Amino acid sequence: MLEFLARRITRLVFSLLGLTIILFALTRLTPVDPVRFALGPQATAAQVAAMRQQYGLDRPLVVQYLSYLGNALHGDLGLTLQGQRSVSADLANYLPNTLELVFAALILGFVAGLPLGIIAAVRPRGAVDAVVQLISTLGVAIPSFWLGVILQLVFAVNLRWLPLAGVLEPSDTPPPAITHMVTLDALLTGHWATAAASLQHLILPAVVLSLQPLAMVAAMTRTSMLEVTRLEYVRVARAKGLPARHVVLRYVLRNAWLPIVSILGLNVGWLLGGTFLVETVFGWTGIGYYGINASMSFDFPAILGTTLVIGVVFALTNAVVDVLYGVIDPRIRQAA
Amino acid sequence: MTPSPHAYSAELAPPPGSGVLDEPAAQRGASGWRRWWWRYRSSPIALFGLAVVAVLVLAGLLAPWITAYPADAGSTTNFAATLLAPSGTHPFGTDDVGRDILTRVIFGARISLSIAFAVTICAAAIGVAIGGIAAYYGRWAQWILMGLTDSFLALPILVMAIAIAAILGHGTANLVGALILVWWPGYARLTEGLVLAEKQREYVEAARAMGVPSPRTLWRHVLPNIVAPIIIRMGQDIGYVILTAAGLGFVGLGVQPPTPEWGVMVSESRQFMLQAWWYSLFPGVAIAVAVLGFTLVGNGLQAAFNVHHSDASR
Repeated sequence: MLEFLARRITRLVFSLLGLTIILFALTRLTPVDPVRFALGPQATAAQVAAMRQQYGLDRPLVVQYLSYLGNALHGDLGLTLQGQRSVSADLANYLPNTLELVFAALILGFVAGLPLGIIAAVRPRGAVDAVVQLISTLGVAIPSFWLGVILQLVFAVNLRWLPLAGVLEPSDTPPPAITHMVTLDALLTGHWATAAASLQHLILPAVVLSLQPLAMVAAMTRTSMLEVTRLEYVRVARAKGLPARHVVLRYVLRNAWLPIVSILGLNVGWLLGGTFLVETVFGWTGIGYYGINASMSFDFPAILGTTLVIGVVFALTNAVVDVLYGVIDPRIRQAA
Repeated sequence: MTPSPHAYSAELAPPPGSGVLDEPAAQRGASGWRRWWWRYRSSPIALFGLAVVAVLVLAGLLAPWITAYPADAGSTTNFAATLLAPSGTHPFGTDDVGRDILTRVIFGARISLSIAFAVTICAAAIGVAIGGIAAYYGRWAQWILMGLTDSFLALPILVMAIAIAAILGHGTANLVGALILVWWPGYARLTEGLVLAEKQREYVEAARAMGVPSPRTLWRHVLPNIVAPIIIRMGQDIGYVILTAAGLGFVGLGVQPPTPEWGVMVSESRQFMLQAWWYSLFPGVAIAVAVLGFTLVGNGLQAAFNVHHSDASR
């Protein structure tokens, strides 16, 4: 297991390194000149040259890359081109909102998807099964950003049940920071009014983002439970006269877990990508929102920083999913 | 995870000894394709998907002739007819500068489908070449090429696409480039696995023993045996490419206005949310229908090509 993990981690580190090289090279090879863009059309050649020097863009490419990498390892991702703020500090401010949204979507997806999948598998071809099939097909096809816009139209604009956008209203006071996730902090510190307000803001984006995991969890639970149900030991359990609920939960579900956990791994990538679109729709100030703003203004240091953070989160979750495999299925632990 | 590649190759492998020497490849292929079409046809849902795709392709191809206001595909304006609700003359209503939304949605099919086909075909070609070479030659070629592949896979597809599109600059050509750059690694991984499995087979050894040059073995003998899973993957990817391209258009990093791209249209509609629900609704429905159609075709292909999975997806 340890050797397996060590090999996985080495590979992850190398691919992250490769990623930084690719993106760094692209930022230097592209015809776009971010400095000129940041300074605006009125900037003189001298101003452009001064800013290029300040950002070290006049040095050889390899030197630039190595110094970027060295600083990044110390947690310094450089300064943004727009406004010259610290990219690391920016990301630290924006990341908790994204994590809160992604966790909420993941929880929603599992809490709704698991029972739907189980019921569908217990009664294949029943009504719930039909609904699950429909959701799992549509859930993948419906564009999240569009669903977000439509839900805003219905629940915020027309019915006025929920706020249109944002993490909190400007009039709300944010709770004392513990985890920096607003809803969680408000709950932990007992600021119930703030918690209610931030939950209201969280509902729409979380529902939109949860659609894909919900669809995949429901479909995967159904398929893998149907596969396990056919196995002999389940028939034996039934023949022994064990109650149906016991057979489903203890015998079938337990052995159907593995593919369901793999869905978790697959979804983290999708959620981290989807959050860029959903945060844009809902003005949710997470790193997706930050990354899109940086992208629109060619703020290369901010873009590189955002991708690096996402890459690390992505790599870590994939590693965790691998470990979970081993925890759930002792056969994998032994084989590795 | 994806089903083991061996499941496909076991079925597709030529009968022992036949791969290089006797049966003409074309004939073997034809009978196989007919069998797969027969299996594909047996699924009504897959046929429905195919019908949706056919309608979209036709709509895209014939857009200038079947739309009522072909000039509205560009940047024309008609300020006498802004934000009209759906009616007989404008079944999907009009937008903020008075253009017919149905016309623009139909032209959108042309844009989204061309982008999706171009990206999928180029990505598959690049990925198959890189994965095939890496697996067939092994050693440092494999080490370097698959290392490169892994680096491209270190970010979720959408994030990588956003980053590359942002760095290259906004617009349709850069969008296509960015999407090809994020999609080829999946094919490289898939092909690597398939070729590694094929390499163990006797026919490859026979070809090698007979002195067939490596590139020729790879192209003429290995590739035809791994083409099915690659086509399935392409079928499943097209919908996803459409979705991603629309997402990039929506945030402003992809196709630029006034081109009637579906994602761009949803984005433009947001300012007029209070007055015109139809403006947001129809372009989004178009995306969902297109993605759904291609997803059903992809699933149908998978079920038809792969006997092992046909019963799990009933």
